[in-house]
Amino acid sequence: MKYGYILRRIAILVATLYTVITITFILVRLSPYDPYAYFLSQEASMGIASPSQLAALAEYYYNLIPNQPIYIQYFQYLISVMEGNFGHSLIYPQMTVANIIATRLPWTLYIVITSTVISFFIGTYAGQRLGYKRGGKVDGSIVTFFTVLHSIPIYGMGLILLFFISLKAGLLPSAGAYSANVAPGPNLPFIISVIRHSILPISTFIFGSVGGWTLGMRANTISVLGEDYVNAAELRGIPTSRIASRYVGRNAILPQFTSLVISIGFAFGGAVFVEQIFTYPGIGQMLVTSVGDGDYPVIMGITIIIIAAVLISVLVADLTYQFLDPRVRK
Amino acid sequence: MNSQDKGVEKKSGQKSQNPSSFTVFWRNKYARIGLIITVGFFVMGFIGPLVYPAPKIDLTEIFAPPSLAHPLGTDYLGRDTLGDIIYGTGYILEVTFIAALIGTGIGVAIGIASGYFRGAVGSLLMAITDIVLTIPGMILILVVASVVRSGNPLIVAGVLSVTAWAGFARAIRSQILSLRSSIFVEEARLLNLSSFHIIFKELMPNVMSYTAINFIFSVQGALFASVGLYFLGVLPFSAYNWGVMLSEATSFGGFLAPSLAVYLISPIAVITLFTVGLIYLSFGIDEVFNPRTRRR
Amino acid sequence: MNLLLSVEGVRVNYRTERGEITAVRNVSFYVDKGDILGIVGESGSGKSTLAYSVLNYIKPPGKIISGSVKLEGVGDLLKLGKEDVRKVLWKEIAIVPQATQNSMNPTMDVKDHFIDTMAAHGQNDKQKILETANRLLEEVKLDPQIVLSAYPHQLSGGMKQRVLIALSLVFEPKLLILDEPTSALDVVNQRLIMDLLKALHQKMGISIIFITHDIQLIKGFANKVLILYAGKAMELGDVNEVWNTPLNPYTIALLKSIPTLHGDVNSVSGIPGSMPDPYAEITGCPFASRCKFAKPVCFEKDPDFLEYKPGHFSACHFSKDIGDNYG
Repeated sequence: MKYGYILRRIAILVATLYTVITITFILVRLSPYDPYAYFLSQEASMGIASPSQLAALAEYYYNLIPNQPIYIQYFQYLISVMEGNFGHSLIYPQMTVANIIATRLPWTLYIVITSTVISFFIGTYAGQRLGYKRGGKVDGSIVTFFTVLHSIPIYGMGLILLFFISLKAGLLPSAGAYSANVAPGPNLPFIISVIRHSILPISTFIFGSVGGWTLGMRANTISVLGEDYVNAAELRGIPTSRIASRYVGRNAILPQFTSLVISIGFAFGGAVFVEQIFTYPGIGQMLVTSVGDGDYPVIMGITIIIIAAVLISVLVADLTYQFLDPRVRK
Repeated sequence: MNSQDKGVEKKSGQKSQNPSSFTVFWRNKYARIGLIITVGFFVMGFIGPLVYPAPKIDLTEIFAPPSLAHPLGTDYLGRDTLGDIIYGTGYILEVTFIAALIGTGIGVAIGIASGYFRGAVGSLLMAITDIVLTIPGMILILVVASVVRSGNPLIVAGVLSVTAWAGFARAIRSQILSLRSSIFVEEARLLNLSSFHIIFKELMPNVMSYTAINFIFSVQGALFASVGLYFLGVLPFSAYNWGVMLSEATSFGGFLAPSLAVYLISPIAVITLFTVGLIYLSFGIDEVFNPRTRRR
Repeated sequence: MNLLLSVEGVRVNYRTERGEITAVRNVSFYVDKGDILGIVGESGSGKSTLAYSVLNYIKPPGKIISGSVKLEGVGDLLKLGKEDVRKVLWKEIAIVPQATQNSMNPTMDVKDHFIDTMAAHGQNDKQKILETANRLLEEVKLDPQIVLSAYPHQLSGGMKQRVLIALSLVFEPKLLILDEPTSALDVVNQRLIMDLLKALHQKMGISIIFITHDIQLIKGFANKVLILYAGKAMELGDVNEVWNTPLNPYTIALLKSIPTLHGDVNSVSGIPGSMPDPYAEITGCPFASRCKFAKPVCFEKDPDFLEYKPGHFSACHFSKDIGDNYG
């Protein structure tokens, strides 16, 4: 049963990845906007007349050989993607797309994972406390506060922090992942610089998501508090603190894990905005830049990698959930 | 709650008279605030431009602080910020509500179809839903928007709905699955009523309040995403647009202007207020129509 | 004296949006050692609320307004603080709640339920806990090997019910309260649970309060019965005596509504009318509006709960007449 479930999840992962790769191919090659055809006509108009030269360029950048039937192009594309070959950037022709991704992905992972973990724990803790204080005066105003916090779009939050904390107050750096005057490597000045540069992007994520975690955990806690097994535990004389952790907390946190699965995808979406605002050298900022430049090989590569990263995180979160909830464990 | 008497609970739930559903709705604090804010935005979007002067370029008043003539100050071309916001509201409402309509429509259709027609069709629809569900929407929207590059509200709304329907379809499906085996659907089946009748007369009414809530959340999602796309500069520049305002606040030396705070915060505040209104509206609908899930 | 529990004049109110309602009206009763007391009432009669007020476990918006619940060796439970009540719960009085299908923590296995419960009252020796659990699970005819490591969702309704009964016996409490223990079960499991309870009662000599809406379950199981109507105690006495010579018109009506295997179907009759609106002020007897014997006095004065024969109580202005004429 359990292995069947894991296999099913992996099958969905593979199918999703395949779908996404296909979508990127369709967008670049088959949509009415056909950026690839545009690229070929551009190159041709710049005087590269020889078809063999053109074909070499096309394969260099796009992994697509012109004048082949479309299904051959599709299979070529699939194979090269599976080999980790996403072609070359149109803007930085000497760089492979895989190379660009490799230098940028770690920064994004650092920001996204750190902020998600911190936000999850703060929100879950606060939500349980609030759930216990439901209906009180403080409860009402705190719920309103978190509702408003939750209603600020992530780019709004980022711009406000950038403007007030960094530009007005000058407390923290406004751009980059580390200062130009430190040498990258395992040395203290570099680490401090990296942390200082990441505080605002991480805070943006946390402020943007902690309200959701808090309100979610509050609602779960309230609903679990109404469950018969909590009353039954009280009737058995089990101490309040034990009930709060093992009966209420443990059961209320389960739906939070389901939300965690969904939030991973959202976090990567948010990374696009946060990195753009703080000029943070992650994969999201690269994606926006490439979209602006029309650098399609990079757009396609990054999209596939981000989605693969999300799918793997979802799988991990999902399997963790299987482990935590005996009802689905079987 | 087992310490409460069941009979007592039942009685206290009864209403002595039967007030119209709008009265019940209006009595709820959240519903009332949410409705006022949402209607307020419609008034601002469709009546505002008729009464408020269109913002004009005035290079003598670049980044002016708030004043009587310009309640929220001006931008880098001396245009009135409040005017920018009012004239940008209509477009936002169009895009977000069309996107929510498309997303919710697809979600309901696929959710009901996959829940009602089991077998190959249902499984296929659910497999597609599962795949779409795991794709991070914002990334895909960004990529699609980068290829499509159009500001047409219908096209933008379509792009925003690319993945928005999936979560809802799944939720509707599970509701339909549990309703399907319920007594009144069984009865309808025994009476040999058509699938059309069962779907539209027996099943749909039961998922209506849930659909309404999802519609509201879809509006909110589309609001964040559409403004975000303009902010990133992925969609073509257009006048009177909240996202373009945010984007301009960060460029054209805007960050150095002393009055920037107001210019920057105005569109953010408007988006936040609209979202709060939508969330309160959903709270209200939930409390009024699903008293069982009512937050205690 | 072998009095175990005496409940005097307990009144419980609920505050609702439309005002205060009374769920339990000055109810008094007692349980002797070794008794099985059946508390019978229609749904909404306040029988669960009464059971929980015996444990001093009424949650807001409910409130115990007055009364006393004296347990032998403990004193008045209603005067104890929260922590003192917690210590008494399960050690002295245990309750198997009504909604047993959902009374176990879904993320804990059966073994953890035993460990948690016994640790809460100072028993931390895992070996001892497991021994107790093994013994009691066998007592309720479950295989400890399988059940101890099972999660609630892996157990059937009847199994869960038996696990909870075993769990309620870990400290061999003086009093066991069972709130509708069989109402969620099918007939076979119902039978099984009833036989089990009977055997446990004989073996351990534990006193039992058995709450049900089904008066038939009482006969042949309980030795005493308390009849509740709209939160008011109507009749209390020996089961056979109440069955054969009831002193209260409500009891008579209730007994007439039981279909029998051999009897004439036409002699079975429901009770016309419905329970009084809980929000309405009741000045007289709550049953008066449905009572065949009602006289003007019944609408004006609430009858007191009086002892008409030794150990046989009733609340009716005409109990004496009924006692003389019935049967």
